[in-house]
Amino acid sequence: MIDNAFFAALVPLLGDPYFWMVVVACAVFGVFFGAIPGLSATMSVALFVPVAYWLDPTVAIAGIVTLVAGAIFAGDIPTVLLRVPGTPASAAYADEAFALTRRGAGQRLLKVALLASVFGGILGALILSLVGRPLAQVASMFSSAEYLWLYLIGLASAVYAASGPKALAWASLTIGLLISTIGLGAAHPLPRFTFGASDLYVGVSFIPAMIGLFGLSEVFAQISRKKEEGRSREQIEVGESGGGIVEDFLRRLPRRSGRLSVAGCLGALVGMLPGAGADIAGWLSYASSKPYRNGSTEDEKAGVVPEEFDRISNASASNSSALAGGWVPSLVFGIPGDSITAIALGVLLMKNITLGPLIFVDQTEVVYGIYLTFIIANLVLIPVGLLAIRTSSLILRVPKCVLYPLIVVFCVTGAFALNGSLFDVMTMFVMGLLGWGMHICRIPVGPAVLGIVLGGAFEERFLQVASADGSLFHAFLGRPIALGLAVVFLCLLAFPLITARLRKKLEHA
Amino acid sequence: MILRCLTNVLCVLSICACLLVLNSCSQNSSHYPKRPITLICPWSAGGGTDRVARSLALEIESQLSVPVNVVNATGGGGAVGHTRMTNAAADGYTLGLATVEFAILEQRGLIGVGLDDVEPLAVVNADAAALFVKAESPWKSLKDFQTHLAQANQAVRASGTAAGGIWHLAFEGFVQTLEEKATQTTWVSINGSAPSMQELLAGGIDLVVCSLPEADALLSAGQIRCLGVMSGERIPSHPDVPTFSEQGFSWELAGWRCLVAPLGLDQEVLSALQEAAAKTLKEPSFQKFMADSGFNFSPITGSEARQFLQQSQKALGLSVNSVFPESDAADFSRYWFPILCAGALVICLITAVAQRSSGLDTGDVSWSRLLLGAAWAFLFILLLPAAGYLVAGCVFLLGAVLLLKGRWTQALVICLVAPASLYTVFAKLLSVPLPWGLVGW
Repeated sequence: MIDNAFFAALVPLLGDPYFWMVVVACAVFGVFFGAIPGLSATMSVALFVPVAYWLDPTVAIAGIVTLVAGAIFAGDIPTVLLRVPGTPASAAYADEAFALTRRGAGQRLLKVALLASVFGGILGALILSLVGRPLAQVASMFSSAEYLWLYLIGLASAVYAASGPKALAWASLTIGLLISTIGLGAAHPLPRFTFGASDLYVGVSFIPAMIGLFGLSEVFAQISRKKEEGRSREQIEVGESGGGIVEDFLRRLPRRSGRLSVAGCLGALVGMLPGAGADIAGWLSYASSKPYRNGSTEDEKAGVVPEEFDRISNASASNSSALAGGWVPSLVFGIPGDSITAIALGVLLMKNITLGPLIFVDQTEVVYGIYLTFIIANLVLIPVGLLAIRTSSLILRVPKCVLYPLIVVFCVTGAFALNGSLFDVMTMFVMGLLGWGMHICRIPVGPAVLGIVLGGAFEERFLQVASADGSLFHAFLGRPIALGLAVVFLCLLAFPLITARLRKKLEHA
Repeated sequence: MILRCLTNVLCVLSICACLLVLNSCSQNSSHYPKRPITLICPWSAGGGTDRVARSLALEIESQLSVPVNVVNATGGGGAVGHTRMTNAAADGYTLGLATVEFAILEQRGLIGVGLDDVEPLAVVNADAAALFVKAESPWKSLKDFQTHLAQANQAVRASGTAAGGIWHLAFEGFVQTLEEKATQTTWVSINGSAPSMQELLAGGIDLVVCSLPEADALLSAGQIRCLGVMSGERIPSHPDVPTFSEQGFSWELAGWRCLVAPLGLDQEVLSALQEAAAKTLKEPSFQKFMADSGFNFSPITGSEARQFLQQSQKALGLSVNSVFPESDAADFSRYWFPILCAGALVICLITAVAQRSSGLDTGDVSWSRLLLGAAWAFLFILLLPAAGYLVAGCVFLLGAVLLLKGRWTQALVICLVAPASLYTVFAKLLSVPLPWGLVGW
């Protein structure tokens, strides 16, 4: 990979003060955007487009990459501090993370998540630059049947990641899937459950739903607790600021790097599939690291890093590496993997650069520029992220009687800002009540969120596969990758049953 | 005690009054436009329509010197965005970039409004549909495709957009013009041209119908082949792609994008907008953007824009009615998935109850506090559109902090600082729209 073109891309880029200015500004802007639920990474990139018009193509791409990396990391901030997830990917660990915050470990958790995120991002960039092209060939073999099994794996891992009895987690997932069927059907251009309201044609948009299910429902749950009465002038317990966490992380990295890398690779692999992306990647890594229970007991005794930290940092790492993965199909085929790469593609098009197979031949500097900016963007994120964590943690010093109303205002503002629609705000409110109801019934809300996010695409893929001619068996399992994914899915289903039986046997013995 | 409360209330009122005066001073001009304009894009961020909308917004912004915010109101195959741009208040502060799907939705009765309910300001572009196959495909021309349809008995799977979209219509309309057909064609409903291309490369479908700019990257790389474009003449940016009529098939169909406003604008506002739109289309930077992006720029302004839309409506009306003869509202198949989910939900809940893992956790719940809190939040949401973000936010925070037994001073500080700073950040710095209310902020 290292040849003349690489240096031709590297040297002018690093020496360009303009480049650094844009990258740092974009990191700050991206972190800010990501930290406010409702302002999505896509929106930050869309707002950047008019600016990008005046920039060099490589600098413009660097800006977009930095924005997104910042926004995806910062999605963790409100998730951890307020239980209001900024992205569907961080919804995977919202419950566990917020529980840690209440024990006073919020800031430390965020710093670990930041470093894991940077680690994953750089790993993803390396994967993109080293094996991006062969990987893309694999990605292009994914048709509806493979996606269908992948979605099923994602949904099952959401159930697996949820705490509490599995029957309730499955119930939560089906509630999410049911909500996703509201509106015009994916494969049938006819409305369902809309009751004639044209606003409902779009269905329930998942960001307001997520803000409601997690954020608003938490406020409802807190203010309605009898024990809370009279204690509302206090703060949420704030722990120590978590100094020295960077050294701690680096010291632990050699031991943890194996599992973090696995999480990162998983993220990059899933992320490169158009339409699956970072959302599933976070859930998969989180669920796959759930059963591990080894090695960390002594650390926990010493109060260094509890095992939740490992799980959450795995999920964080794979979120970030999924971003780089998302660039694989765009670079290699010119097919945007998500709306962000679609915007980037449009920006490059304005500069007369067409992404696609030819770019590796004609404009190698641009390709190397993209690889490099991924790494630089992630490194710049460390100081900016640490600053953001310190600033945002101030919100925990606000007394509860002020904090809860403020969260409601944040939720409403975020839900409205997404689409400029009051209907979304109402959706958020209704979902808040639903989330509170589920909380009362001890049903976890995490699987419901993934159900809403993936439900439409899942049904669509299912109908596409089922409508294929020939035998159904052939349609669902006839392709080798589809068969492999189906086996993974079945193993995932069987695994909890087997471990439960084994544990019982051990207890008896 | 009462006196203290009264002084506090007076304090709030006077500060509100100050804010009001300050704000009205800064906006004393009575001309249109005096606050940001919202441009509704019915498709998602990053797509072709979004790109056109955003560069249009940039140009109109410099013409009218107020911010123009693009809002992606997606969903329902465009029904949501088009309904919203039509039903918006006719004050010139909400515009929309309508696309050809508006006419199709109207024809199929899937939307409560129609093209006659909007004021067309300018038609921006018209992109003809084209037919693509994989580079390895045996079909080299439309004739090959026709022979395949006439002879082979393996069904042809095509896509390019969701069922009922413009490219579906283009394909079905074309296939209906062919006389000999031994083979079925299936339209696989895939949302958008990009995932369709992915499916084409993966071998899940045999051909894709979409516009040329949407397929540019793969086409120039030689991964796919274009069998023909459904326009009268060859497209300047792709001179080597033959038209359908050259190959002996008389079939044309194009998608368009048109800047529209709700019907019933004031004459002053309407002429300001028309002028801005006309100037925008003449702007070299905008024309360069359209050319660079590969869109087929075809500016039509003024009364001709309405004529263009009416013609398109007529032409589409004919083909829509022949391609989708009746929309079967009693179709059961769309409900099978929800029914499956509901069944699974019932089973899960029964299992949970049987395992005694479920149960209501209401011992610690104070219903009155929950009801009061939820009602107050609901009131806040109801108040937003009428009172505007600042006022509603102020009132809500003041009440909520007091309900939670916070101190008066805390409540006052937070209700004055929080909404104002949020408003500044969102509406002023990021130009993200917030509810404006009757006063304008």
